[in-house]
Order: sequence, then structure tokens, then C-alpha cells
Amino acid sequence: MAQEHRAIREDRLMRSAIAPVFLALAAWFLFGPRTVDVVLPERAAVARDALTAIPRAAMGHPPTARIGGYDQTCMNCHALFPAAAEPARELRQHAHVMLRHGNNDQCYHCHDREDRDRLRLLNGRVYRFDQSEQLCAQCHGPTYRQWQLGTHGKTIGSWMPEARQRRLTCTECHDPHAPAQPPLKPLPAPRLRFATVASDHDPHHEPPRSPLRRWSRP
Amino acid sequence: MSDAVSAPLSRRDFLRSTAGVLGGITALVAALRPLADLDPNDIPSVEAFIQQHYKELTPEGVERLMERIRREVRRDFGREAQVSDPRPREGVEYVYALNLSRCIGCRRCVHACVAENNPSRSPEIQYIRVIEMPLGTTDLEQGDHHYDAAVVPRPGHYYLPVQCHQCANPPCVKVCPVEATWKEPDGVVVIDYDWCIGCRYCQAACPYDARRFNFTQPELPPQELNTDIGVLSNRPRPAGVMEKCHFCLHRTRRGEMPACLEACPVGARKFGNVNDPASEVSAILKTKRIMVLKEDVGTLPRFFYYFDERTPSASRGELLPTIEPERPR
Repeated sequence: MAQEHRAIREDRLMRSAIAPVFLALAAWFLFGPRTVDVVLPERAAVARDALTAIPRAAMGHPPTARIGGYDQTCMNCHALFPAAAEPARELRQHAHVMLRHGNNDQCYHCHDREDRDRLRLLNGRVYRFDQSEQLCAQCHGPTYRQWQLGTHGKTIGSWMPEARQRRLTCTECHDPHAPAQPPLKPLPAPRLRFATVASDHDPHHEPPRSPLRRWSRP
Repeated sequence: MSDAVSAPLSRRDFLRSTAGVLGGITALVAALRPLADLDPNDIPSVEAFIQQHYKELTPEGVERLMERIRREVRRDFGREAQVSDPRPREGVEYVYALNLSRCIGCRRCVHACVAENNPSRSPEIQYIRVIEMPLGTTDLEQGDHHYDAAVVPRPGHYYLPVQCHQCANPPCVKVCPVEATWKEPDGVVVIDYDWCIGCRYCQAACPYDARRFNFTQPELPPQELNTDIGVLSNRPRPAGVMEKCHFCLHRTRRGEMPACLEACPVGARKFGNVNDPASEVSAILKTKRIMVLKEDVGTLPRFFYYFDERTPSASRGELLPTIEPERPR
């Protein structure tokens, strides 16, 4: 009998607890925080000019350099003094030229000794600077043929053979004195929320992970 | 019976029912509370709601849709958009080819794509994923797309950019329950952003992880919006729809090159019309060694990886995988 009474009492207690619990829950939904503020990984800003792969300023014809505020062709200076006899030596002028082109390590392999505004093939034929691919082709024949086909190099503007289409020449991508592609700094990695980003600069940095939380807009 | 009707309300019953009613009302209000936070701009207009599937739109319907996009861009970004809807060209089928011997993993393509195609900046959506792979394997499990280095290429690695392969046999199109995504005659798989219900079946079906989902309202600073907008390509997307690479069709159908190609500093990316035997991609398919990613799943991609007959620039001279010569048994 007593047991039965206690059971009924407990039952009543349970039932009267339901309403307050639901009320408390309702109040939580009503006044509680809408979203948990999750810090999104900071967005890596990329400047637009980092994206335009501007071709190198290849030498046109005649080759010019800005010296003392004036555009000068090579021969404007080189006509004044005789050409050095030795094919390679320590440069007193043009010291910025770093010649890293394999066995091709002598100026007169490509530059014409008499007319500095021209390029000279090994067979003696002379070409203008805007025809430099002829010069490259004498050693890099397979690459030249692939470039003609379009399987080497870069074509911009249009995929249709039309006026806007332009296939970059050798020296618009490669520095003829050091033709290897220089290594580049990569643009920022994707910032996926739950990814671990091990950075070279900050190996301990790890974005917050909390898969159970909802997104919130910052 | 009459007793029950005329019985006075006990204090306990009164309190109990009052508490019940109050609780019920509070719960109802709490349940409806999120509506108060609703941005009226997020509610689709009647016009958007009754709009037909893109393929069933009349020319006037497309015109109205373009006008609505212009209006929404003005409202959300305060800028004027040049909206176009270029259709596939007759006899043209696009193919993309990517030179794995050349790619150095600099991610110029990834960010050029982001600048072109108006994806969400936060949370971040990117169509191209450049995977850094150890030399000597095509096992994607060993790849890493979070690499960060002072300079790339890193010795001993090659780089595998992956984006939508515009498959000729696209599993994503097959699984879409509402036909919101389909293959156009020029081979590009497109999405009707107004028709997509956001079920993400296509994302699960894609073997290349090419599809992205807008979990939230995409966040895009107005000054970063590209106002050259195509209806099926880079128009600003709402929350809850899929998106993916579309070969920049608002550019390519005008004859231009995709943005990722224009940004590539090493000329590793090639794009063109495979039906034109004189095109660069035709020459590549005819003369180069070609790899198709996950060829075994039978998706017939329009995206081909190819190689030069030379050491990858990533590893010239150093850290080539040493292959042990097989010993005679």
C-alpha cells in the first residue's frame, strides 16, 4: 500500500516536472544564442596582378634599352667602340646578365659581333631580334616543332585561330640567358574549415575544428 | 454529466492548463523565431519561384531571367552587370589538356578562377584543386592539396591540378533527381542554379571531387565581383545550390580562353576545339602521351593530362625515383 502511494507520488512529481523542463527549453530557444560564433579561417587575399601571367618583355626589333632617359638601340653605343675579340669574358657592362644556358656560354653564339642589333645563327645567317625563335630552333629543334604545333608554349587570347589569338614566342616566357623556369612562390592554399594547415612559416598554426558547430557568418 | 459541466474549475486544474497553454505558445513562438531573422532578400521572388527550367525557357524568359540577374546584382552588390547567355557553337566540342611535365603547382589557376567566377570567398569555394603528388605514383591518397612552400616546384613532387572533367558520360548528371544539371552540345556540364534543390547527390557521384556546395549565403565583397556574367556560369549563386567549373563558358563560347589558362605562367594548360584537326588540343591528343584520371570509372572525361618526353621540371636531375632493375630469377 505504502509502496503504491510512493509510486503515485513519484509519478505526479515526474509529470509536474515536464512542463517546467519544456518551458525552460522554450526559453532557451527563444533567448539563447542564435549561433555559436565559429571563427572562420582568415581569407587569403590575392592581389589581382598576382594572377596575370604577364609575358616577359621580349626584345623587339630594333632592340632598345632606356639609357639616360632615351631609348637607345644596341648599335647606338656599340658602333662607337670595336667589338671585343674574345667570345666570353667578364662583363663590365650588362653586368645583370647571368648566363646560365648550359653549354651555350658565349655571347657570340647568339649575338652578332658586327651588328649588335641582330642575332646570328651558327651557320652565319643573321636574324632580327623579333625572330629569335629561329635562333632557338637551331639547337632546340624538337621543342621548336612542338611549339609550331602548339603542344609546347602558351597561346592566349582565343582558342580559335583568329586575330585575337597570340602564341607567345620563346623569349616571352624564357629568359634567353637563363632559360630554365624559375621557381615561384605558390599562392595561398585552400582554407577548408576542417583541414589542418601545416605552414612552413607557422607550423603550429591550426585552424579551429569543431564539426558539430554550425556555420556563422562573421 | 451535468455535474461535470457545472463543476467549478479547481485551482490546480486552472494552473495546470494555464501553464500548458503558456508553454505551448512560448514553444510556438520559439519555433517561429528564426523567421524574424530572415532577410527578405533571401526569400525567392514570385518571378524566380514560378520560373521554368532553363531548357524550357522561351527567349523572352531568358531575357527576363537576365534582367532579374541584373536587378539582383544591383541590389546585392550595387554594381551594373553585363549579363550574357552565350549558346554552344555549332560543331565545337571543347577539350582541356594539362601538361603534367610543366605544371609547377603555383596555384595561379586556382585564384584566377576564383577572381573570374564569383564563388563564395568565405567559406571558401574553389573549383580547381592542385594536388602535390610524390613522384612515381598516381595514387591520389598520397597527394596533398594543402602544401605550402617558399617556392614550388618542390623536388621529388609533381603537381596534379584537378577540376571538373566535363565527362562525356557524367555520373553527376545521371543522379540528379530534378535534371538541374546536364551536358550541353559542346560538352560542358552546366547547372541551372534556379532549378537545383541542393540535394548534393551529384557531389557524391563525382569521382573527381569537382562539385562544390554553397552551405551558406556566399560571401563576396562587391569590389571583387566579376561583372562579366553568364547565366549558366558565373552569376552570383544563392545558398543551397551546387556549383563547379564550367570551362568559363561565358568566355570560351565567345572564343576566349578560360581564366585558368590565361593565368598559367608555364603554359601547362591547353584548351580548344577537338573537332578542329588543326587545334592545339587535337595535336596534343595525336602526338602526346595522355593520361586520363580514374579512367577505370568510365566517365570519359574531356580533361586530359599529358607529358613531355623529358624529365619533369619539378625534379630535373635530382630525386628521380630510382627503379631497381629486376633481378634474374
